[in-house]
Amino acid sequence: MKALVFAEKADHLNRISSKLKELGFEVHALSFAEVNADFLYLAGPKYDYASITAAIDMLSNEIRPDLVVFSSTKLGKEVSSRFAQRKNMTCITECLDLQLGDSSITVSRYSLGGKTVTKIRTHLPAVVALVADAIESKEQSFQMNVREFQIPDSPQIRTVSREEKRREAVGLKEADVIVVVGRGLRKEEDLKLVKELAKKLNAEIGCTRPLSHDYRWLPEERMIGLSGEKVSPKLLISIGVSGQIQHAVGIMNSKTVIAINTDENAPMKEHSDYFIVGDLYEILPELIKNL
Amino acid sequence: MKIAVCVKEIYNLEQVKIVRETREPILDVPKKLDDLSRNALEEAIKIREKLGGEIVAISAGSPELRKTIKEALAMGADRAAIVTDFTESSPESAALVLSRILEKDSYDLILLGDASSDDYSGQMASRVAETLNLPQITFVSEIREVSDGKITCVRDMDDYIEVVESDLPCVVSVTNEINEPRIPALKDILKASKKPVENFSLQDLGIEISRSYEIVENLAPAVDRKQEVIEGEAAEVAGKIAEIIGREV
Repeated sequence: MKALVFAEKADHLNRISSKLKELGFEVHALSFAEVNADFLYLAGPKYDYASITAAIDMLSNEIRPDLVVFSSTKLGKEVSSRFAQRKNMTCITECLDLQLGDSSITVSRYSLGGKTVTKIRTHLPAVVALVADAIESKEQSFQMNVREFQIPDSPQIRTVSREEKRREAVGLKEADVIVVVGRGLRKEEDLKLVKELAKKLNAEIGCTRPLSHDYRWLPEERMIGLSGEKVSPKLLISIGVSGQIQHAVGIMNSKTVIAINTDENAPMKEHSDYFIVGDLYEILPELIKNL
Repeated sequence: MKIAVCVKEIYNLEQVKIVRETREPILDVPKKLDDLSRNALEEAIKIREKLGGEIVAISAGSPELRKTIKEALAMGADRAAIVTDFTESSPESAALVLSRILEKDSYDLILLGDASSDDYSGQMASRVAETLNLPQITFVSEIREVSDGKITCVRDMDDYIEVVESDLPCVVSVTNEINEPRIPALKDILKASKKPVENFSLQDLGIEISRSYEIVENLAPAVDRKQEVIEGEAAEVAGKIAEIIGREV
């Protein structure tokens, strides 16, 4: 069994390669950096879908893989589905795990906006895009045959500029205590209340999507949910968060969840061990005094 | 400018309940136009306001779509072309159906949401563009300029922001941050019923759908929280929270 894998990020590629090796695949990887693989096709970086799709197509015609695997980043999703369409193949994106059956694979992914997890089985050959952070695998040993590879320069659109996002180093994944803030917060200045609480508890601050993506009060890397971070702290304090499922899937692995919300019927209740009905503006100052 | 907007009907997710014992979803709820489809429509309307032209809403779905598509017409699409006997929802079959409808006309721009809020699969732009042999610009957070024959967009990617341009025709998928979709007024809703809707069947389009994968199970993740409700005066409640924090950390 052969797998062809591409990811623009080396750490994603290493995780996915290990998983594929563990399942018994011979791993062929197209990469911009030195990563673990049985056969490594080392190329200069390119970020346009058309050139990468062409490269995967070339390699796939040469290798004849049973499974073509991408990291489920935005680039990974756009290339995997363009490639799958070219080959008239199934493609399943946002996969949280990967199991190998008898000439088939089974993957899990969220559906119904995160309300359910769907297990899907499909025959090989197939294309999948895996959420690298969700994939667990042990370290494997690889053949490490390295070959220089030239990605054909065949863009269909013109890149005017590309700018790296400025990223704040955020320790949400490792944090023992996380304070999450949602739309119950009325204005940006009020974040100082939340920050004060977080400081007392030595906690990281997380938020729901509107705060990071619509209001821009907090950086995107602090967003917890289906399309953001999935966290697993000992204690998570959720403040003014309604508890939409797209957010709730990100906190499901927390040990204890305390929520403060004015609405006693907020969906957040279902996702809380302790659900405090009350006004954050009255409770937080008192709580900070108490700590 | 002739713009096609591919829209999707989805279950009204807020109304989907889970059976506690079996963790199965109850899908006996009405359908609605997906929020991301509304973002794509809104962008199309803005372009029409500037450059003039026509917006055609294109969709494949269940018989209920005849009703759901009115939401797109009420928002501002001039007409619609739909397939209403499409119950299989794999991305490859949906792309095939949409592409066949799109091929019946010629468009300068094809807009859609970067994913749908139910499956979040995010394949449709790529698959439609590949089928129609067109360039694609995905995950667009801003359309900077559209003119005759050219479009310039800002893409919001995982770790970078990119400005790209493409010749038209082109397929563009938008994020839900790109705009705030307008809410149709009553008169727009009334007008929507009079707008033309072309209704095709899969047979009209010469498409036979085959399922390429199998759903083994579809269950809500087990959530087992205590859900203990605490109410009272702020000072008293704060004391209780502090106590819980002390126990847990």
